[in-house]
Amino acid sequence: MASFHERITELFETHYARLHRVLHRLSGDSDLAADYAQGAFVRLYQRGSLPDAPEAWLVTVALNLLRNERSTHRRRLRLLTPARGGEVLADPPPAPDRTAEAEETRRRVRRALDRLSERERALLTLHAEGYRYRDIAAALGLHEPSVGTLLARARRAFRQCYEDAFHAP
Amino acid sequence: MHLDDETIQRLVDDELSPERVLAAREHLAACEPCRRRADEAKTERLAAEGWLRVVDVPAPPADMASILLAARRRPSHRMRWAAGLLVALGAAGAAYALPGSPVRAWVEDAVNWVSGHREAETPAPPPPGTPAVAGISVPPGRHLVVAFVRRQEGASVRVSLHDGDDVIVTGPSGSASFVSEAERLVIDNRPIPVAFEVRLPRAAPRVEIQVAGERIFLKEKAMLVPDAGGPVVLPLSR
Repeated sequence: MASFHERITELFETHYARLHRVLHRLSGDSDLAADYAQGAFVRLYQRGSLPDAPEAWLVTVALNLLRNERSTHRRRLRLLTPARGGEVLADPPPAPDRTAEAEETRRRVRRALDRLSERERALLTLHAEGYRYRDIAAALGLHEPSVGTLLARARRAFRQCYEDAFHAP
Repeated sequence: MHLDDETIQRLVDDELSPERVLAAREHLAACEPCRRRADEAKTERLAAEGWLRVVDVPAPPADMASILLAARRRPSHRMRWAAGLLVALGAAGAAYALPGSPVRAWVEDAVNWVSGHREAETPAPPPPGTPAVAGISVPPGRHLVVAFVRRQEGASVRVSLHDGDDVIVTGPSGSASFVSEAERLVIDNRPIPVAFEVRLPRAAPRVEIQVAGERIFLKEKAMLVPDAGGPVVLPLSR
């Protein structure tokens, strides 16, 4: 049977990148997302035992860390900079016009995400990362039987904001 | 009879039980409008997931060793509370022992009050350096009760709506302690005449405010009781 340390190591290897994606999509800040993804694992280690649903526990703690950060410092969300976007496009090097096009799409998506409510962003992100309705409800304090309807609204709002972003200056 | 939105969404997101999937598919086979709605829901899902991937960046490298190091270096919540309590007790003891310190008088007042010898008449001024306002912010969930523990003559709560996601309760520093429980936010208000502020998200489905177990305010979707057409100030004395 795997030890506590081995289980956390396994969870870290399978879920760190996933947590980072969730937090980055919510905040637009890769460094902040990395800090809080790691912070959730630190809390898990300090807890001394694994909760019943470790993946759901980790994402709930990570979202709380992000929420606390926002409520205390009101860190301003940042749009992705060209340099930051370049990280994804570094290999293979794309043609300049395709880089510009991809960067423009990224900006529009980021702008659309930033226009959604925090709850809508979290719903979209968590579900896209494979979290089940039950875990999403627990992490966001929602009534589980209405998660589908809220998610559908969030997707429609996202589409609307994305389309509006084409007309924004 | 058509499928409701929740069922269609759950079908698309693979969140229905096998029996309900079967029933939903049978319905879709015979119902063009519902089939179209299901297709649209699936398209929305795929579009949203595709757009989200566009903003992703690789996670900065991290390893388990740094997690272990941080876990050992950074005290846990409980350890921080214990350390904070020890520091506070140490500082209080030192302040009490200083000649001419006002702390001695405060402690005597507190002892008298706890013993029931004297009712507090006015709120004690917050110690220098402490924030003037204290409070708590919690998500409203499906149903939240904001419960003030005791009635108090002269105390009040101002209730207003805002566009944020959380229920926010604030009061003068030292006027109450706040405890968040499942579907319940308990405000253990001190017996002093102060004004609290409760800000409710417009989107909150149901929030109730109680004083000593008695409801004084209810928000049920868009319905407010009492409804003053704006912020309402309620006494905590009744």
